[in-house]
Amino acid sequence: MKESFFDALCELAEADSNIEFIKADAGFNAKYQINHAKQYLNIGISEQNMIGVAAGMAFSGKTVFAYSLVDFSSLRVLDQIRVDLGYNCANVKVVSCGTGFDYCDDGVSHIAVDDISALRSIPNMVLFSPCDPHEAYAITKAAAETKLPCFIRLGRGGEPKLHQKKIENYHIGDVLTLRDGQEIMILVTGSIAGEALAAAETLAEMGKNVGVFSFPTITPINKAFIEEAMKTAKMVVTVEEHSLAGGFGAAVAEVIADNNISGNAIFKRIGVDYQFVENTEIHSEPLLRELFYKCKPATFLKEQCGITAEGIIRTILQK
Amino acid sequence: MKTEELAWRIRKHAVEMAHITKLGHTVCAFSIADIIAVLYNDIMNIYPQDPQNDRRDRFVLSEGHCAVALAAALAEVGFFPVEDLLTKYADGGKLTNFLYLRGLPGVEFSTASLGLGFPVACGMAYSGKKDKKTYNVYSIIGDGECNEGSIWEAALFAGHHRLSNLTAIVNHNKLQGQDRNENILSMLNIGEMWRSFGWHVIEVNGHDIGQLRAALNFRHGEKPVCIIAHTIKGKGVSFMENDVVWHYLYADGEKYEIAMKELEEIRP
Repeated sequence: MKESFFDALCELAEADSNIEFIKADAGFNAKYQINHAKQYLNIGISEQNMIGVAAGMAFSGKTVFAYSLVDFSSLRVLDQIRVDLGYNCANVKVVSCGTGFDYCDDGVSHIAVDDISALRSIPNMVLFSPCDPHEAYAITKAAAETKLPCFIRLGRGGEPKLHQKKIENYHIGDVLTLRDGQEIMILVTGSIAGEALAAAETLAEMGKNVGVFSFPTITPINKAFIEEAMKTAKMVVTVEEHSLAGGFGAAVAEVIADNNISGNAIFKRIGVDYQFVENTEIHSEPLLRELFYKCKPATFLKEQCGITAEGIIRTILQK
Repeated sequence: MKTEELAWRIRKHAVEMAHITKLGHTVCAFSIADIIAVLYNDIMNIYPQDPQNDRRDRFVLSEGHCAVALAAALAEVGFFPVEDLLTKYADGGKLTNFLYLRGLPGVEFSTASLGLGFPVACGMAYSGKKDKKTYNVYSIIGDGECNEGSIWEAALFAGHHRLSNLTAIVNHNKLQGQDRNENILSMLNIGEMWRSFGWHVIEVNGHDIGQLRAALNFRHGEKPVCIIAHTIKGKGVSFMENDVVWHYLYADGEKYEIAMKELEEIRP
């Protein structure tokens, strides 16, 4: 996703000299940095300052993309996002790279499963969470078109293309179909959509009619789509590589509860339970215990949280 | 209007507005009254009839708690009618939550979450310099606010990028929310701190109009300028001066009468 974000950004910068890209000494894209050196700034490891400076630049007529890893461009700078961007309505797009367990090798500090919860409570912010490179490209263009502050969650790179072709004319709030199906509808956000698709294929082989629908926009959420899904489907399931507390599934649940949607569908949420997910395991040998920690890969953590294809199937089939 | 008169009016409005809104933070407005008066009367290019004019100088009140001083100055220099201070804005809600001023003509940015405004001013200066704009950027920072790490991130940034179109004014009244600076976090030589971050530092008596004018007019050419303005919290009303208790208070009843009387006596 990172690569297609930069592809879109390069095109935007080419067309508009008021596009600016600043980063807090994280992330690298040679194509952008070489071709658009005048619209580029590495501000240093100072994320708080980055958001403030970005707001000041936005108030001087710029459209600023401010980039860092998810944790450090969300929770670390939440007050700056709230006041500088949300309340002052600054034309800044915070670009957060490495969602969910992408950087789990670096430990709990780099696991990003709480940004959606935090960002959802800030008025004026548009919250984008693409599932593949095609969506990342499309929402980057959509973010540049609105004057509203945005928060863009990106996978760290190398994610497979889940959509068959390029997405044309994406509008904020659009829900995109990854797989058609009416009885069981899986609503998903972010790159975990790949697992949801794999689950749907297995379930289809078992004779189930399963659809998978991607939400590249979490805020403002597409209420009409959720309402329709609850009326037509037998089961609606949300899937996210994020905490269940206040995350994407919670946003969908709020729509259902607040609008008294009285469909026939059973509603389930799949995501990370409310806990710190650790990727280390203390070595069983007492002598080695203090020296070595076994590092667990992201797939192991996803299995533990029940958000792999198998976990999704398990939850869906559960009575 | 003479600058001394503007500074006096800012103090008077501050007492009146706090009296109506029943909110504190009058005394820090007194600390910066003279600085704001010099900025708006003598230094900045302002366009009260065209507040968004691209050539205007920018001012960001990072120490947003002193917002009443800014509101009073904006009214007095013509951004909106002075009567509105005590009616529309105090009574109608825009100043009752007076830390946030967005929507008030002439205010560049809403602040008051301490440590947030100054980086925004740096962004405006960076942008202006980059686009070769002629405007300058001014920002008032509280000395207590200098406890915040984000102030120093921004100071480092402005020093590194040689933002010579930027002037930071530290309102150094030596008092913060609950005690004297030195009893909470010592900043014994705050000027040296700024100098070591790549700034040209000037120390002035923050109530001396002449000194302020000279310092605020100064451009280094290569470095941003930091003015350490030594001020007295509550300057202008005897019982409010240098008393930490008044940080959160406003003058009511008899105190209000005395404050207004004392101000009347020092009218320039």
